[in-house]
Amino acid sequence: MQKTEATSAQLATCSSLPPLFWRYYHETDLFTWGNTLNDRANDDVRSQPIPKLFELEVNQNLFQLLRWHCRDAAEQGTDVDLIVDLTTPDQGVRKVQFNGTSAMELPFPSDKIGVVRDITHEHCIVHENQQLASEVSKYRSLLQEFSYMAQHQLRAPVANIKALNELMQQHDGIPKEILAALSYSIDLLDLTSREVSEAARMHLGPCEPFESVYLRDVVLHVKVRVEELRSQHNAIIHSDAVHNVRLWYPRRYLEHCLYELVLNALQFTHPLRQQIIEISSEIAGTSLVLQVSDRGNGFDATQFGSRTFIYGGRFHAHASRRGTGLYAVRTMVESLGGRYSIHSKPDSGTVVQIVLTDALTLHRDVA
Amino acid sequence: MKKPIHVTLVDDDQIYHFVTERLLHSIDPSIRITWFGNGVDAFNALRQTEISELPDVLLVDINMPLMDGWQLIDRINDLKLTERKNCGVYVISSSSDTSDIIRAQSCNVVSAYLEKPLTAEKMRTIIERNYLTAD
Repeated sequence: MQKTEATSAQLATCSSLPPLFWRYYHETDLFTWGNTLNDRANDDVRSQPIPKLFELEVNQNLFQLLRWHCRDAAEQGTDVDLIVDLTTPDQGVRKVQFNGTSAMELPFPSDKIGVVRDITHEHCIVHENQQLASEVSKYRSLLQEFSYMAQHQLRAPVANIKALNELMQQHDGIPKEILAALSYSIDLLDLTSREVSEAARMHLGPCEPFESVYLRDVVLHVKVRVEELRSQHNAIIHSDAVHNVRLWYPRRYLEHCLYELVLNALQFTHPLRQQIIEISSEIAGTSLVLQVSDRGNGFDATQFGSRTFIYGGRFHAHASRRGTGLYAVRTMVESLGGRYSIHSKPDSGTVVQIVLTDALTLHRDVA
Repeated sequence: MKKPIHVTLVDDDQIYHFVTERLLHSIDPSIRITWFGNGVDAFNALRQTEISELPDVLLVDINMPLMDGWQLIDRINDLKLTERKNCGVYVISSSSDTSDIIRAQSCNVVSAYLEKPLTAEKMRTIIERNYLTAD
């Protein structure tokens, strides 16, 4: 076998080579080397990873080494992919790929100098990505099934119970408080089944049509919807002038988000001071930042902030809140690529911001 | 004297049948009710029925075995049922899925999409609307 001497430059490049290659350079005898490879006592040597990129002289010995390396790895259940860029005077750069046991079938090159590149890691990433995509697809399919169950299998009996309850209300003989409790429980079940259904649908992606919608109209509509509660709390709702902005966004999502934020603010009115709610908005490129701030009870956002937008997350012992409002906001906003944030301190109010990504149609109409 | 209004329910849910029958008879005991548990039975019956015996109101559920509500509505469209008789076709479903609502709105033969449960108030509105226009 021809002895291969590495130049100092090559050795410098090879400084990170595993013992496998050092042994090759030092012993430079393929036969001996092959025995070493087959020596069970040297499993630890064979299991050394090949560096991701290194340059060395490619002769037949090294070529054989690479073939063995791939084969042995494959036999041990590890997939190793190597690419050798062979530089030849007449053919330029030629790529040779080593992979698994089939590497043994590669013909020896006549070339001398080349670059060995380990692409095992890249292949692993591709493989992992494929696995992840497959997992995501599987979970999406499960979510679709769950969504279907929530929308039909769960909603149908709930609707029947509601209808039966309505019939029962017409009959005498059952104490009114029992009927009232039954109605309350059924309404709660109905609401929960709707929320579950809605959440499943939203996680599958935007299920509402996009439409051209003026923010001012949505603000106005929300104000009408909360008017009774606003009046009860003697609260003031201010809104800024940028509402003339026109958005391209599912109207129902936008209105639901704003409604939940204003409703939240009203429900957490401070007992000793008048509630003032500010609805403001700011254009950020093609996105809109919508902010609802209040001077209500506030809460310790550093302690509870992460729980604010999760399902069932509650940080007040407020019986009427179920911890689903901000969860719905989060789900709707995120399903369209948006973001949310909350800042609050006890007794100093709360600021909630939602970023409606790409919600702007790039023009603002002045009223 | 005007003929009693004829309502046909197409739904595989027996409790829905029971409740709807009670609701309808609480509005008007003379209302005639027929029901089918799936779209195939309903379609075969409607196809063979004399015009005078066709329903004034057709309440169709979406989620049914053999032939779902949308398929049945397509067939009804082909039968030109609403042209042969002034029949109000209503899609009734427990689903609040917007795509279902939009789909119902896009069907010419569908008068409205109503979400379950059907309350006495909703039912009365349907009956009154169709009673006035019943043949």
